[in-house]
Amino acid sequence: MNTRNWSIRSKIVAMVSVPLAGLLALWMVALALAAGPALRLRDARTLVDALVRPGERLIAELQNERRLAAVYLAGSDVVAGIAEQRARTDEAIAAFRRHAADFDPGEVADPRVAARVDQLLTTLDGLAAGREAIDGRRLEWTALFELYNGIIDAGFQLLAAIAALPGDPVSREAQALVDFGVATEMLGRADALLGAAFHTGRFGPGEYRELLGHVGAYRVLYPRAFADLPDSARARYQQLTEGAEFGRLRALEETLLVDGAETAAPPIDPGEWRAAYDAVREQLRQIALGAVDELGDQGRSVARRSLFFTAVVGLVGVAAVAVALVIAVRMARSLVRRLTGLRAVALDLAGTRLPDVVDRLRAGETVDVRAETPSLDYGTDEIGQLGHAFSAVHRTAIRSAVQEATARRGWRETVLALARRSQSLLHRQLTLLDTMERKAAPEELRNLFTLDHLATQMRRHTESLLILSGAKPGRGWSRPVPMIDVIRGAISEIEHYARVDVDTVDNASLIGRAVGDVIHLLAELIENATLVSPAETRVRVRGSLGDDGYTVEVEDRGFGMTRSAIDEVNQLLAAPPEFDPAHSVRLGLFVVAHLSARHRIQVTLRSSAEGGVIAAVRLPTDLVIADSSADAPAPAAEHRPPTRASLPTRRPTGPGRPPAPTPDAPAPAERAGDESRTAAPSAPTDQPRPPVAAPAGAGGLPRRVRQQSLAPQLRDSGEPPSAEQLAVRRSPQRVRSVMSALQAGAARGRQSAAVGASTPSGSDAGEADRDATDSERSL
Amino acid sequence: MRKAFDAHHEWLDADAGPVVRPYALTAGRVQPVTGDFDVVTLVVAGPPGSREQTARLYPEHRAIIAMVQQPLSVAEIASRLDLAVGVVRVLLGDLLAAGLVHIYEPPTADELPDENVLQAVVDGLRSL
Repeated sequence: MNTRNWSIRSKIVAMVSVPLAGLLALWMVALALAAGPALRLRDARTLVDALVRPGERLIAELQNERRLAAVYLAGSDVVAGIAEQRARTDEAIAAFRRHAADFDPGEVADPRVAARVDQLLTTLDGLAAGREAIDGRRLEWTALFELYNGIIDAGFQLLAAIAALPGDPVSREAQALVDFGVATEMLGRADALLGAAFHTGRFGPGEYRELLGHVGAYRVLYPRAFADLPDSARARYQQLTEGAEFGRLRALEETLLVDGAETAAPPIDPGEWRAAYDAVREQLRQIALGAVDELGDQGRSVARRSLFFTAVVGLVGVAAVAVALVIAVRMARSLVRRLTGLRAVALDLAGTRLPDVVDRLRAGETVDVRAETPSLDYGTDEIGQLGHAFSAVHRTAIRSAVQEATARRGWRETVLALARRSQSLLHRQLTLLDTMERKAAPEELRNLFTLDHLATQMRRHTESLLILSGAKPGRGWSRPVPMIDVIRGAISEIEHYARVDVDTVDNASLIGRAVGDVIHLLAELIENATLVSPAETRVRVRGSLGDDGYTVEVEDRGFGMTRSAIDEVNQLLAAPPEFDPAHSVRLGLFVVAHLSARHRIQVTLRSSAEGGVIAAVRLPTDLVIADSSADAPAPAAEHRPPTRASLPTRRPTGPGRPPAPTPDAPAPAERAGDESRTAAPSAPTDQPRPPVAAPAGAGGLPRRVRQQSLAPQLRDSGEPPSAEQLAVRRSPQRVRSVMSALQAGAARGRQSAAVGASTPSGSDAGEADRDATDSERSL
Repeated sequence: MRKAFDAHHEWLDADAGPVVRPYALTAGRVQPVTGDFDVVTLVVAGPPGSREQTARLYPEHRAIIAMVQQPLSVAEIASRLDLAVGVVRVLLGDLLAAGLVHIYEPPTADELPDENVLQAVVDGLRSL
């Protein structure tokens, strides 16, 4: 029987029930043992009430009747009182019979008692016939004695049997009482014989011998009985023997013994005998009755004590069992409760608190080990120790998690430091390369381009490292960047940039804060496209502006992906899991998913009609600024550091007119910095441009619109000059006047500088300026 | 140590360098497809091209076209666009091949008029 999987409660119940059962059994045995004597005493009491008292009364009346019958038989005609005595005897017989009929021999363990009851009743049946014989004087003395003695003996035998019942604590005293009664009967028989002898005047044949025998009998029995009599009876008997009547009786007995003889007359006086005998006999009877009562009381008190003891044993037993049960149940319940509580706390630690701490550590918080570990106090016993063990385990787990996180953080910090250092060096390298490329000859330029390409890729990977570690890369943009540049920037960062074609790209700009991440994301996708398609195929990138945002599509002509592979990748892109360094194969995918999630960009793959894969990157509208202009801004604008809303830079253009490159009014220099503008409509050359409200610039300042406040006549027309106009401008006459003005002005300037720089002749300078502007205007 | 820089970028906008690297502007080429563009070669815009041609042009191409409505030298164009001369040469080669610009080559040394012609010119000018 495998008790391992029983619940604690069942185990405790099993543990407790065995000794409890034993205790219960012992209790029942003790109860039975204690109850036994009590019950037997009760039975004895019953017996006393049922048989002993009526029996004793019967014997006494029979003894009286025997004496009167003897007297009658001795010769008197009428014996006074014999009829009343017979009536009393009959009453006693009737009472005895009643009790004997109610008496259930099964209540008493001894079958002798029942037998002797029957025997007595049988002998009583012969009494009626005997009485008739006595009345008809047909009975002899001996027969008379035999009749009554027989009944009385049967009665004493019954009493003796009752007294000898086993287990009766008062049996010795009861036995003594029976002996006492028998002794008194012997005395009565002697008295009856003497009475007969007194009547006839002398002893009959054998009567003296019989008398002696009776006297001898009671002389033996009285001392024997005396030893075991109850205390008060003994005291009274003692008193009796010291009394005067007893002394007289004794004296008469002596005389009888010494001086009596067979067939002689009794040597004592009948009257004296009668007086002494009656007195002593009455006292003896009283003593016997008193002793019976006393025995009865004793028996009652013993019975009471016994029953009390039984009750106490019973109650103690029940109490013990109940206490044991209660203790067992309470202890079981407390144990179970503590264990359940401990289990709940341990599960909470393992299931809730530890994961929570791990999450917090992963998010970068610092965690105090002590504060996170509650001390489980469940007492000092084994369960309490178990609680402490749990706490220790929990503490260790948290400590290792903290150590792990610290180590990881340290590692990350190291990686970040190295990456930043690397990034800084690459930046310097690229800046130098930019400068060198400006002035390089084509062959040098080829090598420089290679170097530039390599350095750019290195920078891209360093930035990848920074992004993966959660830091920001060093490059950032505060002003929007055109989408075409974002796309080409991404292309320039990959290995096989030469295999990538840019198809139509709708005009739009990407806001500054998303530029770095989107370039990175697109570079990842485009590089992937070049890697999965054969080297001779081209990868195409296009951008289209829609209502739901700006979509960049990267199409490769590779061998494509299966439906399930595409679905799997799309799922990963939609819900990026935690970055697991173990799965570095998915690095690119993770980066794309991470970056797209950051800006709510949607990246999805689908199969293309030609068998390759198209990756569609949808940039939400809040990242994109739609340009309504036709052209992209001049690259010059990108390279000027804009510190505030830039004013349109009127670049010096030499002897020509300031160029009006685009049909639209403001210079392209401003386009890069604008967030919102009200573009002036393109106006035909002969119409003055309507005044445009000053649009707000990058810093919220009003932006100057070129030539807006200028007088219409002075404004440039938007169109490029036609060939005729060119021819007019470049006529030799004009050239001559310009050249001569230039020469004169230069000579003048040299003169004035030679004369004295301290006194700049404002008029001279003004003249020179006026000359220049005059000739300018005439152009 | 450098934790503060996590919060913001180290190089902003122009300090970050050009978004598109120079080699990407030319798709890796270092020589123009056609023509030999000396630094003093003058470039002027030609007739505007077809719609498809224009659509396929890079912004730099378009800027060059816009810029050379008046003739400009290659060096001028490079300085105005703030690009490497080599890159500009490649871009101009693309434009030239598409017929969107015309070039005026400066005369080489042997094309220059000789001394006698120059002397005759000087005499002629003095006599004006």
